[in-house]
Amino acid sequence: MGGAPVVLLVDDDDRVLSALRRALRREPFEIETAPNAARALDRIALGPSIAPSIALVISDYRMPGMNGVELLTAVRAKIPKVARILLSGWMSEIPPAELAAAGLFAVHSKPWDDAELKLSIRDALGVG
Amino acid sequence: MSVETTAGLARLGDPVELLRAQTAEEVREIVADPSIDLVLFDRLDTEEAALMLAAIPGDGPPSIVVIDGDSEADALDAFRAGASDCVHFGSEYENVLPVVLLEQVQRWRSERQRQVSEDRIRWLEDLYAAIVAEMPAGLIVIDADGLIVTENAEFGRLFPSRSADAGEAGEFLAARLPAELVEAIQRAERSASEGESHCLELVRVDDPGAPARTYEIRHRRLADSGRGLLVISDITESEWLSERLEVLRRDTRDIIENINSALIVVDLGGRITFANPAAELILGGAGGDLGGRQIGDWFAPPGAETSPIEECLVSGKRSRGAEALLRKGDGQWIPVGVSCSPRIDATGRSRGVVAVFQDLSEIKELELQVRQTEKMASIGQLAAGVAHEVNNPMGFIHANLHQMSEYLSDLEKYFDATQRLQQAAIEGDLEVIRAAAEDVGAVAREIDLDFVRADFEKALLESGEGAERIRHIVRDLRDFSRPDLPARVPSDVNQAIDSTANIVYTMMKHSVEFEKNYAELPKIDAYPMQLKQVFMNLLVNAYQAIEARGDAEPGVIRIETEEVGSEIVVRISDTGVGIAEQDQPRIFEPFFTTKPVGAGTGLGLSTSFKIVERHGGRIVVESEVGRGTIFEIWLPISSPRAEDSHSESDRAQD
Repeated sequence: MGGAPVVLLVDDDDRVLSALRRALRREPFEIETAPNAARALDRIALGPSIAPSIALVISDYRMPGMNGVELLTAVRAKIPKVARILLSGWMSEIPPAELAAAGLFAVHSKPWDDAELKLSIRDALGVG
Repeated sequence: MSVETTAGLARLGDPVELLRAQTAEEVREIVADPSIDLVLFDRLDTEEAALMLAAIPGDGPPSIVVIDGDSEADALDAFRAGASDCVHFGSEYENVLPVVLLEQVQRWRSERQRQVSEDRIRWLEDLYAAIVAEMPAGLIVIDADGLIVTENAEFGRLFPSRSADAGEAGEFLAARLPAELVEAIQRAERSASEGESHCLELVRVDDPGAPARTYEIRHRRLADSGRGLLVISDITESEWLSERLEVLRRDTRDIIENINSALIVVDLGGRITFANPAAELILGGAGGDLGGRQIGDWFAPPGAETSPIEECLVSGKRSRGAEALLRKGDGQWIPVGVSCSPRIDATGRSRGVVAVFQDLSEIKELELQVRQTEKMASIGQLAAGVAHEVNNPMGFIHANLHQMSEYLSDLEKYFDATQRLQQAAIEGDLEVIRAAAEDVGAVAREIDLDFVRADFEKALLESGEGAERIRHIVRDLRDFSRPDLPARVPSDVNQAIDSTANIVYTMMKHSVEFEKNYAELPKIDAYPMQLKQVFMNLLVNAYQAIEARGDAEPGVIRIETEEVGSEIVVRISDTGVGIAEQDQPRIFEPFFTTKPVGAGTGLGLSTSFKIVERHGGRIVVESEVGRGTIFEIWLPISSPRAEDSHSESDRAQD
């Protein structure tokens, strides 16, 4: 376990990714981004010899192809120790059973509160 | 004929008409005439006379043979051949002939008279027997003691004899008839005077164990004896019928008086001859002052054609549910639905029109509300998309604002440091200047000045773009939910479908790809907002049909427009689940939906259908389960003028 933990942000809206990067700029972890679920899964699958392990995935819900809950459920199945947070614009469209299956650490809705988001990321990562 | 015979006939006094016959055949022809009184054979030879006599039938007129000389043998031959009498041609012939003639003619005439009378009597007897036997009423003659003297078959059927020797006369009334009838007949016997027919009150007979029956009794005292003739009819059925008729009449009146629909009867001249209370309420003529007024007085909106009632008067054809404007008694114009039926009498001639109409104000109002509700509902189906598409930019704008205020306080720190450097430069102390300059550098490093400077601008630009995205969404939604313009306007159908498709695409881009192929189209007179509503309904349906497949691959919605002859066609096809064949005939019915509860109102397609119909167009659907659906909206390029007035009335409700 070398440097800082790595957080993977997944959203099809690059403006959202850009704003998140901005907000988390001074946080004690590295940030990577992916524009969709497929790319995110590809990144997570990379071995530690190629790229640092992902400690947390924060994903949007509504995305082309696989949605955020499907992604986080898949992450849970593949590498259960990766923490998962959902960041959604419209929570009530998500079936509760699906939400439960993803075993999420936290759920935040857009627009998000920077301080709260930072707090739950730190909690998820177990850092100060 | 001899001079003597002529002289003899002359002595008869009355003029005699003579017909001559030369052969047996001529005799047969002449005696066929029933007015021939006598045949005279004037001195023929025996054989010829016999032939001619044989030509007279047995019941024919009498015949007299004139024999030349006084031969008794000849006379005998004549009698043998069938002659009624013989006269010898000799002295006294002229005197004897008329006597014999008169005797024969008188006998023949009285015989013939008797025959005719007998025939007549026999015919009357037959007629009487037939009437008595066939009349659909029981007929009896009773004597003064109440003994049945004679009865017809119908009486036997109505009141079968209870004694063993049935059918034999001689039973008493009381033995055959129910007590109520016997009493009624006895009352009649007492009060009836001779020869007068007396109709009794109807007699009701309650026989335990059988339905009650009603009889009508006619009584006539016969002239000769103390006998009475009774005619008894079972009128239970006809009484029931007339009661039933009365009930029907009353029911019909009740219905007409109490139905909510207005009902009027108009004569051929267009004058009101009847109005039920509902009609009086609308037409405002309680108190009967409607009678005789012209129906056209109520149906004459400025610039409109004749009313459906007047059309029916002219055409003689039924019409149903035609919409028209009617001016109520209080002067207010209201939309009404009118159904007309011509009144045709038994000879097939028209006598006027029966019209039923209803106030459609409330229905029209509801229709408008439903239309607006449906419009809102189709937006409601987009709620998730709207929320997502608004909350995404809101999310990053909000975060960026927060970040920019941090950048600002960072920059303020740097600004303070540069101000201190500026102050030091003015004061001119080199040490202080150096320290201040180092401090500026330290602050710049601390706040990561180059990054902040570049990212501040980037954050600002990105936030501005986010705000623009929200503005677009809100504008699209506002455009879509705005009430329509007050009249048809030249509308660009391509623009209407494209802007609607953009809203749908914004909300649903993640699972749907759009392919658009617009032809150059002329503008058409239309209500653009209503057309957009149709396109929205069809596009949302297409999207939901694609969603229902549950495929990872995005589905495709293809939009094409085309000008075909005098029409424009908008074709919207999707690669969704398709419509089951058994559902296809029902998809335009109001409230028909295959969507889960809450996902659709079941009004989308029925509303779309109505809107397109209002534009004089039509919707065609073609679908295959598993492959997708194609909707085609056909709209006429030149709008039908008749539809305009209809839409005007629609709008009066807005």
